[in-house]
Amino acid sequence: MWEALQYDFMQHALLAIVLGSIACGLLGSIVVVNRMTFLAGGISHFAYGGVGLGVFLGWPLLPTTLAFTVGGALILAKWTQQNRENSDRIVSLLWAAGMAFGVLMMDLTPGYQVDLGSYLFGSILAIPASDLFWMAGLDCFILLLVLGGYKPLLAVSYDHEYAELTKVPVKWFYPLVLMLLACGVVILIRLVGIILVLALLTIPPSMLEKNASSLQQLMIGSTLLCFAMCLIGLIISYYGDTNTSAAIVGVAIAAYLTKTLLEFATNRLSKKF
Amino acid sequence: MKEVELRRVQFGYDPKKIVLEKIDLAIPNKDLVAVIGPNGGGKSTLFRLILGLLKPLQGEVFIEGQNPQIRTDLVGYVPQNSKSNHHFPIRVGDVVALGSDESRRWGWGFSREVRERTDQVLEEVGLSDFKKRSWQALSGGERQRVLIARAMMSKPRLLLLDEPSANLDLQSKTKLYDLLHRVNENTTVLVSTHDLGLVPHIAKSVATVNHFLHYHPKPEITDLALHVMCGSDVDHHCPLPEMTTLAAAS
Repeated sequence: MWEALQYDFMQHALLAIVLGSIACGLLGSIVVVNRMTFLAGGISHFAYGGVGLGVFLGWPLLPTTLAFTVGGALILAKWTQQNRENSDRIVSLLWAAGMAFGVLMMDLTPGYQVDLGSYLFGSILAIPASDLFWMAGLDCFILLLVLGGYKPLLAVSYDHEYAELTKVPVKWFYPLVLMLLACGVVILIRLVGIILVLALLTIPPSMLEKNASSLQQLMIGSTLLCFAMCLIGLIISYYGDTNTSAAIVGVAIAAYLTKTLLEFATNRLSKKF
Repeated sequence: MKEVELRRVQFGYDPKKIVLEKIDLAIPNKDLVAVIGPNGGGKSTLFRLILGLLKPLQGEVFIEGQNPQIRTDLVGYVPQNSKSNHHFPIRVGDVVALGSDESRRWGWGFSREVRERTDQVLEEVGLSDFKKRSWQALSGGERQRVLIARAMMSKPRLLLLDEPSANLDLQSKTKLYDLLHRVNENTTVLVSTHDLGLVPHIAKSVATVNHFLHYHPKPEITDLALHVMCGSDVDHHCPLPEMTTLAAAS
């Protein structure tokens, strides 16, 4: 494993894990405490339309996907805010529309060569340095807004109605969070892919939510846990010669199931004795 | 000047379906009003109008002669405990600090002034040792007192509590009402409640809300209040048997 670290691709993979873990820890915590998992799923799948558009137009994929996904997230925010009762249908619609648009664009691209699987399931061992710069830039943007706007974010997440009463700009919260989520999804596409993004965003904070005593603690803990899961997944895939993204998500799900089973067993035992 | 004044207020979420009609109310300073009425009668809507979250279709609302939509700091609000997210990862000190106007400002942490004010209000509600405790680990009664502390951060002149005793055991209710009496020494308090039997013990006056409003300046449920509650022009289940049972039980 240590020898592998001499290679650029492995150094890039490690750096991508660090950058991806920061996005996951910060945004995943906000998604989980606000119960926005389905919305996060909608945005991540919508991003595939951006990949397809980038391929079709021959534009750089990461910036094109970012612009497309942020645009979709803002439309989603506006649309669901106006039709709260139908928000699940709107998310489903955008979820499917993004995927269908991406596939169509790929089909229409003459001489199409791009490996579809690398965007659906990630390609952590093939991240170019230019993508790392984009990921680092987006991470800085997310860090700035989440840490800088922490108090209003906490106020709205904890009690939406009371935040409105104390004149916190509540109407900005939803579009802001969805826009940040779009940025986070773009960071994570190279790491675990569109299909598996949801697992990394939600599993670490879901595991820690009950034990964290503050949102700050949940964010830091989720970042570290996400980093550990990605690293273990990378090591397993290196020795097992398997797909890295699937190994990372496999580790995350195994950790979640183990914690749930341990909690269940502890509860049963404490009731018995 | 009256603390709270509603003049000929009319409100409906749909202008064709009026929820509150011809509401005239003048609550004196340092009153403790029990707001009673059936579910769907308009208690929460009345609170939202006083808080400035809703604008009347007709009429005017004043808090100390001022518009509550502009002077939000004059009114503190304690929502129903059952509506809060019990699993949210947050410390008691932070919940209380969110009641300050700093919660809308850019930044990672709260200032020293807000922290000191937090200590002060936590002491006032008898939770001075709870600052670092996790919200998830509190009992229902403790949560309610934390939410009262949050509402008191801005030193409000008027405190509104939406069914604060719901889902609380008798001991927690007693502590809560003791606290409300202490708060009432300096603040006007409006409490919506279904504990009709307790009204004479906790309140100084009673406002009955069911589409219309009847204010009685003594803690008694009058025949007129009962008439408002069971008004024949409103399609609501009359809560009279429930009230009688509760009063008898207390």
